[in-house]
Amino acid sequence: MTAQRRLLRFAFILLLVLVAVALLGPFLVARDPMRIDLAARFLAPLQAGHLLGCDQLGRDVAARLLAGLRWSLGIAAGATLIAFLLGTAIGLLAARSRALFGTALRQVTIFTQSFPVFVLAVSIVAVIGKSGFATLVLTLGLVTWPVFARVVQAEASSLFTREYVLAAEMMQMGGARLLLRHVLPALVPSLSVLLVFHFADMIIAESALSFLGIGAPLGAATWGGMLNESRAHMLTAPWMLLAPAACLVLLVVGAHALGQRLREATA
Amino acid sequence: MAERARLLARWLGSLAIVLIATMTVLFFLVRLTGDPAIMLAGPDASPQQLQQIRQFYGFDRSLAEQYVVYAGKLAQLDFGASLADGTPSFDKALASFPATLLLAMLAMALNLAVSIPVGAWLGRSRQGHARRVVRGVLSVLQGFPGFVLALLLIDLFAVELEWLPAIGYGGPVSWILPVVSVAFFLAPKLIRVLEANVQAALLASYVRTARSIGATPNEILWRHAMPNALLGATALIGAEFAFVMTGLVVIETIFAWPGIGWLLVQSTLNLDFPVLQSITCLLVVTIFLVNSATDALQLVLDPRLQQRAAAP
Amino acid sequence: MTAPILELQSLCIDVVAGPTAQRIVHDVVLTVARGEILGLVGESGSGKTLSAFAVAGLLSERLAVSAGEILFEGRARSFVSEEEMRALRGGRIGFVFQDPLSSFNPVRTIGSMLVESVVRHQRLGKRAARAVAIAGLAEMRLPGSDACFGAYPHQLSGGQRQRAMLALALVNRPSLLIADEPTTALDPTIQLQILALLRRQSEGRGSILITHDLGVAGAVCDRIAVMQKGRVVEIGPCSAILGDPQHAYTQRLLQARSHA
Repeated sequence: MTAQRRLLRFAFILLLVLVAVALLGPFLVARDPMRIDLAARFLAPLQAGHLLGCDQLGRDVAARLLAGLRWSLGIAAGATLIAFLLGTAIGLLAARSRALFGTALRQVTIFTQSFPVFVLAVSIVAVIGKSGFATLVLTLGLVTWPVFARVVQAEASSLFTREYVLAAEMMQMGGARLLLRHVLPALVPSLSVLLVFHFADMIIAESALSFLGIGAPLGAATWGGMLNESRAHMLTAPWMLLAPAACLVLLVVGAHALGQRLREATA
Repeated sequence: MAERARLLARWLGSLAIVLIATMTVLFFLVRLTGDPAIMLAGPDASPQQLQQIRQFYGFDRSLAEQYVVYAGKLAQLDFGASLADGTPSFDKALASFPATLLLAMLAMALNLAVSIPVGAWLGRSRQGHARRVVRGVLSVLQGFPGFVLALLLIDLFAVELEWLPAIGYGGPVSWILPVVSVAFFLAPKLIRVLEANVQAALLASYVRTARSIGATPNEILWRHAMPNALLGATALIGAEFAFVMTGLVVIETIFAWPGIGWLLVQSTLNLDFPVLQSITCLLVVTIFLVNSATDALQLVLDPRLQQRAAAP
Repeated sequence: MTAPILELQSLCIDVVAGPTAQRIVHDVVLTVARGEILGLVGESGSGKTLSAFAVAGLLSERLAVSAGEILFEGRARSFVSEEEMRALRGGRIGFVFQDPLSSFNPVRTIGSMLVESVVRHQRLGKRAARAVAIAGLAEMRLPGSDACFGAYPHQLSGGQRQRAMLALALVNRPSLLIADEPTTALDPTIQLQILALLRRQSEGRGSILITHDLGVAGAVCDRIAVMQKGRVVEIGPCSAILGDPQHAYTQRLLQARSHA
């Protein structure tokens, strides 16, 4: 038990450090992640001031990792926020209107639950035909909101039949105040767990998309893109694979550990 | 008999609704977010070509008219020709299906072969070092991005050790890495569920009955507890199968496995819109079929549900 | 007089979880003779079920026999290995549980349970075991034994399930039958049928009927042992216990019964 606790505290601190690094990034590393230096191609780590070495174009791996971290965190945070706001709003509406809208939404969420969200994201990005930060955030947010809607609908519809909510309703508390005072607070535990796990899922989804070369602008420093470029040079420059892989795994596994901790704490 | 016909009709009806809804969303998505003529012709097309395409596909007509034509074509499974090579796009999507099915079957088989014994062991064993280590590894693997695992496996077994080929679909040896990557991605979740189910089953009263007729601990685990534990995991197993049939986009791409996910990426990168449309349609049908099969399987396996279904 | 089938000599049971063991069954002394039904009566928590579980070796791991001895067919339990114990369970000792619905595995047919037990203890092939199992079900007067053989527990009525449970306990002709509250979950008329069946099946073997209901015990038992707080407080022939109870607790139980 104590070992597990220690692991979880470690995961939490790790996440905080990563976020801090992402925010302070440009002040920490002065190198330009895009700067090509053909003399430094495949430079091994810890040489000539390149902490993690250089890639096939002589770009500094550490600087690209940092830029990728900012990109990943930004997209995951944005997409999670959109999915959260949209899903919670729609879920609450569906919980309130038990008639046609509620049933329809339940059907939609059941189906999207089994539909591979990632496939949907790939086709939507393809159909829109544009790449960039906003496209990715919007796409990932818009295809994953049913995750939140499903949970909110299920929990809120049981809340709306509880005595204290019924009592508040009878005292003619307005709809908005009812939601803010009685319903939303009760949803906080499960929503916070969901937020953490969804954030981790979005990190993976973004890195998978950029790995495929879909969504991110050409040449942008992304972890997925770095992983993809590393494949041709695994034998000669393993750091190109291992550095972004380790970062991605640390971030996602850390978020998962935090989510599990939250789930246990709120259960 | 009439009962059965009605069930079948309802099933086909809901499949039709899901398909129509998906294809309608796709239709409007394409027409409202960009110029479908450019999408079909590719970015290098000349203005004359674009004009021709607009006339040919009727993009110059009203949305309602277009929708009727679109629906009519889809009803005949005519999704248009692939822009890459001019072959019918639906046939192309269908041809990628067997490869995905092979990977899905093998990965699920390995997944079950690993998860059942490990889940059974975790469900039965008491606190101890071995158990703590296995659970720790599982909780790390549970959050592990599947494609990163695939890359690391390639680096280790194909590049460093040179034991296995790095890309798949060239015979059984080349299947190992893709199948292992997928199975290791699936197994942690299933193991967790089986562990919980076995634990719960071993506390049930019927286990005491099994002991009272002289069953050994192993017999109790495998003949009395495990059937119930597996039954409780059918929904997850079905969901995992649906996932491997439709969601292995990155893994298939990494291993150049010519399945439906690989085709999806290729046609996305080529902006081969008719193929994308065919794939979407095929995926919707696949998910629907797998979900229905899971429900049916649960009905067959759980005697308690059978009676409820048979009752009027 | 022949030797008893079962003899408990100062049986004690402890809870062994935690740093210190806590005794919950104290110095139980009992015998069960061939052809006899012994009633074990007491409120829940009086230790009657635990004593019976100890006899069948069914105590959970948190509980252990800490002192005393169990003599079954003249053999002391201390000298019986776990493997031999498994051969006794279901073979020489049959056990009937309180709630037949939760005591049957929901995904196993009644027949498969009987066949499993017959194959294990009589070392018969599947086909021969099937015949033995069907005969065992018929003996318990289960209507349409073939249909019951292939039935799942939830498809039977409560009374049928308890008959099936009896069939499972008795299919290998054990010399000791322990029935733990076998009629508690049943309708009164069905209760009587099951008790009559128990009486009929008591010939040639020893039986223990565990119940909280002195009336039920009085209806079928030859002797009754009354238990309270882990101790046997009174033991004697049925008529003596019901007609002239000595212990205050037994008197209270009888009064509670007559008021009800």
